[in-house]
Amino acid sequence: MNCEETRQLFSPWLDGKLTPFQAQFFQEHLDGCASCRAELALWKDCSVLLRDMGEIIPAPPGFASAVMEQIRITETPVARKRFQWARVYWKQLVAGAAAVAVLALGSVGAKIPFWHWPVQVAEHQPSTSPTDTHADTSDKPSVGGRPSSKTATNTQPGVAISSAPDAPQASSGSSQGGGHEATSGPRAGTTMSTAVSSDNEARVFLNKERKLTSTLLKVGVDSLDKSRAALQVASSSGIPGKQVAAQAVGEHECVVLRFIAPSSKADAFVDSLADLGTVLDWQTETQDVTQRFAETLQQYQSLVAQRENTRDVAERQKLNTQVENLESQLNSWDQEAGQHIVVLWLEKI
Amino acid sequence: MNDKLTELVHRAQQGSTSAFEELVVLYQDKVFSHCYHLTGNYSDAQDLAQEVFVRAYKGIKSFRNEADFGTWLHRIAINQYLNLRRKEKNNNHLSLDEPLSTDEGEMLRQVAASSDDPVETVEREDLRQLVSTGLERLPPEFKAVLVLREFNDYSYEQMADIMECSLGTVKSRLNRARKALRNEITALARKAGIDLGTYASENE
Repeated sequence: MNCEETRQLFSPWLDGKLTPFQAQFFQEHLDGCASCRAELALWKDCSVLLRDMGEIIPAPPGFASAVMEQIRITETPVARKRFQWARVYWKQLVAGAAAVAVLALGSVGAKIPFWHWPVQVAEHQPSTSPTDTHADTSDKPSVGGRPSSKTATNTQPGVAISSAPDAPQASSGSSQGGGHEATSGPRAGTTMSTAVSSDNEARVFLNKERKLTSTLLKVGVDSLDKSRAALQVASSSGIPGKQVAAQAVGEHECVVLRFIAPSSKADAFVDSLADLGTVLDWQTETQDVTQRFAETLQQYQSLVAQRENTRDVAERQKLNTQVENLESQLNSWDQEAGQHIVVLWLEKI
Repeated sequence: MNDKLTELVHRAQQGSTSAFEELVVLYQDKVFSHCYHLTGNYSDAQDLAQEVFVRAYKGIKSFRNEADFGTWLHRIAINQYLNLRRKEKNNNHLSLDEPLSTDEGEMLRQVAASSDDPVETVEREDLRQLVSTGLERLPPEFKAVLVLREFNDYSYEQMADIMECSLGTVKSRLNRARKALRNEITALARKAGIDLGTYASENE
């Protein structure tokens, strides 16, 4: 046996797979060849090192439930397709920015003209929204939920909900990812708020990683009273939430609820909501808004600087409005990062 | 398989998601480790492991009870890993069918030449680094057999079952993989200025 033949047997030798016949010649060659002995020792140590590397690495926490969620989503291709349209609407619900959304419900064959957000949308959070008409609240640190504050703009007394022709623009604007301010700010409500809040100071935001997680859960129920059960489940876990819409979709009556759960509670909470009836759709999405936050912040800061340098009253008001809109967007991202927005859509079936 | 497993698998095959979830919980660490060893990073391992279970769920009816469930999951992982890597890019994979005698001559000369030089010995930690880096640089097919054999201690027969190939193929592919790893180590060591020549003789 020469060196090359011997080295062809290194691998089976490591695995104890040499026949006695092979083993004999193998050993004879090694005894007389230091180079092959050295090489074999290296192979052996490599093998030992590899074995050391094969330790068990535990799956991350929540792995099994993530798998099951993935399965639920992929298991319902029909539902998924049918409710594809809901994605756009869902994003708006999640963003909380849209006062009005238009839904084209192709498969059901019905056009839903409008979704009107009930006025009470804004109530569930102690909002010190910069768009409030009270100038004295606007320079406090904004702790209020931006979704509500943004909507609050549109629910000011005397401010008309956007009319139908605006709505398609609104939905396309926000479905491009992020342009929520396009749906809300410069239109409804702005004339009232700008007139009074010119003194508000710019808020300080920090650039850091921000991720928004949201789940849309669509559940078929026998009675829409299940919404009460959902709210009960939420309040027993200390999760704020509220009904945001109620409407007939084609022949189906629907109720939509929106919750803001701490990430730690979200999975269990969504699970318990799923038990309310038959799950029709279940989508979870995580958006990394770090980059958008940074860009918006830059825009915000430059507008604030512009505002300080503007003497013209009308111009100043206009800038003020833009600043406020950006600020409430930043507020919203800031607040919702680390939280899990859960939109529960109950449909009577 | 023990009774509990058999029952869980049976229920999962009948469409019970809760039974399947129990199986996920039972096997998640094993599958996740396997995926981590294959992909070499946490994030890809998570994606791969999730995909493995989703595929297992879809294909559970095709699972035969006489097989080992963990092995079956490993097979899905290997296939999925190889598919992903193939899609990823048509990088310069070694052909698995090329003759074995690639760098043999050169390697021999190197070992012979360097063993004459009295240089410092290779530290074990150095070698660990070389092995670990070398493994990452191997073509996925080679990495896969090494992971199955060295990390999971699968027998040739089990590997043949997982890879759906003959024992002969297992044997020759392992041989090629180890040789390829050895060559990577040589190349890496050379780059790092580490002399492997004295390593082995010190360990005799």
